[in-house]
Amino acid sequence: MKLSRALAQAGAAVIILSGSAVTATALGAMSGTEAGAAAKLPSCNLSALAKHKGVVNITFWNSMTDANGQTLAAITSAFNASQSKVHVTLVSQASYDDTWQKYEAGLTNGQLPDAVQLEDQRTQAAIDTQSFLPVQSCMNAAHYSTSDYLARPLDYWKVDGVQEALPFAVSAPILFYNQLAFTKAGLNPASPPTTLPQMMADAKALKASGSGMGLVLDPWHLETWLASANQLFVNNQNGRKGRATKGVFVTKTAKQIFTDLNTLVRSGDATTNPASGPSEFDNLLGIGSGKYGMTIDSSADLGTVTQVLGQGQYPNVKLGVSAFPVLSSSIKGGIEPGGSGVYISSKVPAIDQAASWVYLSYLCNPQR
Amino acid sequence: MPEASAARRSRRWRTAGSYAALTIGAIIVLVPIYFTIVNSLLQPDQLAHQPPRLIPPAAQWHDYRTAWDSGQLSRYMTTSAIMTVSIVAGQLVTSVLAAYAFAFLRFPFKRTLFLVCLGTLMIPFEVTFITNLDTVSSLGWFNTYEGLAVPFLATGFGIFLLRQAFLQIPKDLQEAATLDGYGHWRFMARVAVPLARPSLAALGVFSFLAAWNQYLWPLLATGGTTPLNTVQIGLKQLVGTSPDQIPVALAGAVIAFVPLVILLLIFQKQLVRSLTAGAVK
Repeated sequence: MKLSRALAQAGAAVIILSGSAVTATALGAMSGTEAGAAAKLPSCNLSALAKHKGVVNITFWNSMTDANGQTLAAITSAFNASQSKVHVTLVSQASYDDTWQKYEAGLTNGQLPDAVQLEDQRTQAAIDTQSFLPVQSCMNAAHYSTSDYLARPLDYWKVDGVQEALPFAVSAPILFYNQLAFTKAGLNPASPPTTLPQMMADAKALKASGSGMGLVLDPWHLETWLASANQLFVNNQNGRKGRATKGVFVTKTAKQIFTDLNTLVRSGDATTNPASGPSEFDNLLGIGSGKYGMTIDSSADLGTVTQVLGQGQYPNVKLGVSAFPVLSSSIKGGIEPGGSGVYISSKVPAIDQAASWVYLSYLCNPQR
Repeated sequence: MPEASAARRSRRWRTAGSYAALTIGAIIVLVPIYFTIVNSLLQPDQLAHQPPRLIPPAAQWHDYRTAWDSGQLSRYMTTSAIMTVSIVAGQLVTSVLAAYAFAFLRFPFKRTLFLVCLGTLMIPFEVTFITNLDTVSSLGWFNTYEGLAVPFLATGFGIFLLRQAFLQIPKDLQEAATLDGYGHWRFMARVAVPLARPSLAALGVFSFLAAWNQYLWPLLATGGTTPLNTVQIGLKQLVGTSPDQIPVALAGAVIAFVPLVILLLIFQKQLVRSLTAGAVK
């Protein structure tokens, strides 16, 4: 009786084991075909555009606002004026999320743009819609050189060796600080914190002198602290070697980050605010009002921040910016880029796809 | 004698208690609105002031102008107004007609059809909007007023609400009207609809609120290079990423809720009456 039960259990174990073996091979086969896809990319018909007579009109959905939106509009009208083949119409959506919702709905009724700017974390979701022409196709067709791109943002939008989108409006989290508050706290405004422990010490000094630190609760910063220690957030190389299937940040390092941040907030040296909604800018506004002496936010905000400061409303702020305070100076990782990628729709005529490429490569030219 | 005064005293306490509860409720509702208005009048650098300003030191009205002109709220408000009025009018007409049929007419499968009408209340909009979007696009109504309004011209809720109101009309009235030679149309227009006015007002206000505050549908059903944006979408565009923009966005929010406040003030009496209608028999 006992023996048979043991046998049955062993049998079950074998079945489970073989089951997992099957899934493992299936996964292997799948990633094999995905790697194979790199070899046969859809084509990007640049020669058809070259032969085409007349203007190709394309639309570009973007989510740029304020200062950045004005810059994009200026670059685009310069592009339209620079040649007579392609005319681009900009359609600005209210936010990255709205753009994505509209794009998904557009998949059902065909109301899609020729090119679209999508937020950084949509890469896999964008591939899954099967409605984009990887920019790699056009890069190959145009023998496009990426030598003047930074490797890291380029890799960020590369999945399984295929460049899916061009990095555009790339940002990084950086440290914003008020030099006057640093002086008041007895800190050297010329040497802002470069590591998390230093940042905690400086926050304490700022708090003692009447300000403190603003901390926006953005998962991007957590990812960046992990990346700065060469650690992954999700498996399969953060989804760049295949589909990410689980989070892998339950590590000693991550626990240390959370412990440090917890100490920072519990001691009152830092005050938090959410990364979206009505209080999303409290950390930046707090620098203006003197409540905070420093904060971490996206480099994309720098243009607007300097614009606002330039209006002279904040005489008590002398802005300083410096690199993201990494986890530790001894481990050399990297900073995780954010921002957006620009994609070419494959649901529009081939000639429009080629026209989109011409525009996007103009847009991403570092000289702009 | 002492008993009566005790009763009066306890009644007075109860009144005081309910007034206190109502005051607290009013404060909870009004404080966010008050801060929205105050912050819309502040300069951006005063927004994060600690403690928060209760009275703007120097009211800045120019953000209202910015929201109205360069934020294009004037255009978006027009679009929203046309869409909302069409939806409200459509819902009132279809609900009156359908509810009258369910309340006064006899026809086969009446119960089943009414249950089907009620059943539409159980299906959330999120389930049907992709199909609706497909239908609207295939009719060529993408980015048009038809596309914005037509999917919402009939409502199960309205039919249910008005049917209940019509059922409260005594049978005798209908018989008397029939004796006077009233047909269904005249009875509906002269007797049933005037008697159901509180419910009609309630339905009107509810559908106005729902239509005016829509976000997802107007976002998805419009597009192209000149999208027919409604005011809620325009507000989202006002928010932007700049702290400079916050008073402008708040000013926009104030502008967008002004029509709702006016509507509530006008229909307040009917609304309250419709809520209590049938409570006392």
